[in-house]
Formats: sequence, C-alpha cells, structure tokens
Amino acid sequence: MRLLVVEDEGSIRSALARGLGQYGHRIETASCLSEARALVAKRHPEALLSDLKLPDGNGLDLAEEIGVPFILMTGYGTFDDAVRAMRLGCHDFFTKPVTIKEVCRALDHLAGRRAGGPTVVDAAQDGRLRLTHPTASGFCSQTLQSCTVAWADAAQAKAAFAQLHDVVPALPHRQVAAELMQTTSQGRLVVNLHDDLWSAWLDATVIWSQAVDCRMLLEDLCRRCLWTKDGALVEYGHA
Amino acid sequence: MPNAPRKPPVTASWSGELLWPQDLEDGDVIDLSGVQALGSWVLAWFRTHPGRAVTRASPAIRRQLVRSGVTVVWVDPTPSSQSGVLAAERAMLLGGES
Repeated sequence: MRLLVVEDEGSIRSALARGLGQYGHRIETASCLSEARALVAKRHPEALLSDLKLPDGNGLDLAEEIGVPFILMTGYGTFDDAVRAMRLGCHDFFTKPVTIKEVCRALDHLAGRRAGGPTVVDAAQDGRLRLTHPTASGFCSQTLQSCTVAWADAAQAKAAFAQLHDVVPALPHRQVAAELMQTTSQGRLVVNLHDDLWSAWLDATVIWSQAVDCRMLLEDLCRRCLWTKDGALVEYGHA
Repeated sequence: MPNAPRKPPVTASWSGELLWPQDLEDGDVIDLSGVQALGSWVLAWFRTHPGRAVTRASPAIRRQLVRSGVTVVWVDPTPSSQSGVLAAERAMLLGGES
C-alpha cells in the first residue's frame, strides 16, 4: 500500500518508515503539513498515518483534505479528538507509543476493508467463524462471532436483547446494546465479536428525545464512537 | 402539642443488572450495593423521584449518577469501628434536626 506517514519527531518517523516498509508497504514520509501536501500532489498515497498535532497544523485537517483512509496517532489524545477523528472516517486512533505490529494490524484491516475482496470462511469447532481477508501484505485473519437481532417495538426489543447474551458476554457490551435498543422505535442490531474487538452496527432511528442519558452513557462505555452528522449513532466498538 | 413519632426511613435494596425498565421498589433510602449496572431508564426514575438518599453504590455507579446530574442525597455507610449515632445518621433519621 502507498502510505504517507506524517510525524514531526524524526526518530519515530524513521522507525515507522523502516518498520512498515518491512511489511511490504511503500512509505513516503513528511514532518509537517506543508511537506505532506506536496507529497500528496506527487505520490497520491492510498492511506495516511499521521500524528494529530503537527508543527504547522492538525493531522485531522490533513486527513479531511486528502480524503484517503487514515489512521491517527497522538501523544495527548482526548476522547473528543477520538470522536472527531471517527466522525471524519478515521480507521483507527492510537495513543503513543504505538508499535509497528499495532499499526500493521490496523493497516491490514484498512486494506481488507478497501479491497472488499474475497473472504475465506472456516467454521471453527465452537461455532465461531474464522475470516481471512487478502491484504496488500499477506492475509488478515479474524475470528468472528456474529448475531443479528431485529425488533419492531419495545417488547420485541427486550426479547431480542435476550438473544444477544451468548455473543455479548461482558456487561459493558450488554449495557451498550440495551441502551441502543431502548432508544429506538424499531430497528436491527448486528453485533460482531472478533478476536479482542467487539463492534456493532445499528440500523434504526434513534429517539434522541429519550436518549440524553443514553448518549452520555454510551460515550462512557465505548472507547470508539462514530456519529453521523445528524447525530445518529451508526457504529461503535469496545475493545 | 407533642410531636408525632417519626417513622424510621424505609430502605429499598436494588440488585443486578438494571438494564431494562422494570418495577423498582421505592424507599427513603436506596441501597445500591447489589447493583451491577444502571441503564439510563434508572436515571429517568431518579428524576421523577427526586431527593432519594442513595447508599453503598459502587464507584462506577456513583460516577454514573453524579455525572447524570440526578438529585440524590449520598449517604455513606457508618464505619464499623465507630459506635453510637453519627451526626449524619441523626440528620438523616430526624430530617435535619440535631
């Protein structure tokens, strides 16, 4: 993958370039926004890995300008930074120090999502699915347990929630699901548990007049939230 | 005229994962020691039942209630090493008289 790495600290920048290059990525590096903008015009990167705070600006602004899939790193990340990043389509958000392995894993997921290529599925003995995606640097493998529930009213939502119990064992996850399902008139919730990451997709109209506390609680419980511009929660995850 | 004897405060004990709406026992004091999780519908309950005394909440539950801004009175349990009636207990039992 043609990757632009923007990092103002020289030692981190060179370590990322060297490490990610060993995984087969073609790396261009920049130390600031102005250098990055010049490289974008020449090299047309497929993805961006950027520090949040740069000497002449903000990595989020750069990501918004370029419009390619991006991953952010920061030494002083706040929850608000993470939410803004996710709103802009950030694929992942790391607080430094980051490891090459973590970044590579995020890049593999990103590449798999971009490619949308064939997925090899093996059923594991415990009923979970093992998915394998082809990526630019090899294969990305995930163990996936998935559950889809749908409801048309509050009573059905509660009944549907009971079906999630096996897929969503941890209390914070169940709490998030319950909150989401209670603030919708009807909808569908897909919950995926893959490796150490739990994620869910909500296809529903959230009744925000009932969801003031819910929204606050979700932000407390979730490490990652993604909100659409009109305020609907469309994706969240909890590592 | 002599004062009518005060009734002792009624303590309601809640427990479990209160994620979905259900009937909640009401009381002057709500003991949250057995509660593992509070859904936001419980915060709405506290808004319609303001001024309840709340005791023995876990740090996470306490944080959730504080952050939500609901009107509750925090009552800390008496340390076992102390004897007698503390001023805070007396205030709670007698409605602020000391």
